[in-house]
Amino acid sequence: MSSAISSRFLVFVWALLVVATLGTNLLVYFHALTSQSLAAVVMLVAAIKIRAVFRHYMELKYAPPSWQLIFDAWLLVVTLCLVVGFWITPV
Amino acid sequence: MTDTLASPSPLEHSHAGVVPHQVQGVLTFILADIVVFGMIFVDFLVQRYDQLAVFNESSVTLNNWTGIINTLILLTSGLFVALAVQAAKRGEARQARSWILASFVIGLGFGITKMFEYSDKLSQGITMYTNDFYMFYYTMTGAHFLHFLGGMIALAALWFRLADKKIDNKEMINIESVALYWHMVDLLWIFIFPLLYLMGV
Repeated sequence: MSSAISSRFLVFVWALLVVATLGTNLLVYFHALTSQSLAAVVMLVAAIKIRAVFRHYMELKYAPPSWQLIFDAWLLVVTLCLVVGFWITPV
Repeated sequence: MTDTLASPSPLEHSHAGVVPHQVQGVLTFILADIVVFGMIFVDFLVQRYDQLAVFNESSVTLNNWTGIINTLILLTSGLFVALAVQAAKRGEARQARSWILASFVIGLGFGITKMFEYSDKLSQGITMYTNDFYMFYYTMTGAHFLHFLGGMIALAALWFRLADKKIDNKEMINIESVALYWHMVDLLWIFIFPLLYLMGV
């Protein structure tokens, strides 16, 4: 099997991760949303970034489905806990 | 130098459901580790619920820019390790080694920034006993920093190992194992950074 992920694609993923990082920081800096919505957005963006690391950097997309499922389940549970945790905390 | 023994990564081999034992071991370790961190994140939110003012006031004392720079450092270092894996798959040992060195060098930036950050906080008398937020701050970033140190040692060891070596299947598994571990250091920081540095703003 040939090299399935091109170096150029990895750089593209890195650029998206950087843009997402700077973008969420700008949202926070300018208080663009209410604090609870902001927390939800920031955590969801973080979760998307982690899934990109799972799939493209760690190459879990080539792992057997059981491994992919376990890692995705961890991400889903932790993200839900974080979003709900921030959402229900009184401001 | 002739280093052209192309070898797909262990996970690319695994479409038939067979992952080498060493890689399975590393994935299991990573999973156990991130589950523990996940529980610490949840505990952080539970304590934050009860002490919102303390957590928000403490969070704003952290320097956002330090956190952003550290995130960018780890993302870039992670990219270099991923590029090292791609070079190794093509059998280009020297190029893989160069990417590993680049990853190590830029990773040093994280260590240096963290040292400045810790010394700044300690010089102000802020320790993990100051309040519950700082207990979490030192616990999360301290545990993460130990993982970071482990990753740096693994990267350095891999760099020395690959000197004048061809990349066979065994070496490919070693490279993939170190890369997986290094990406774990990266992904944990992606959650730690907003939790500690951003949410009090």
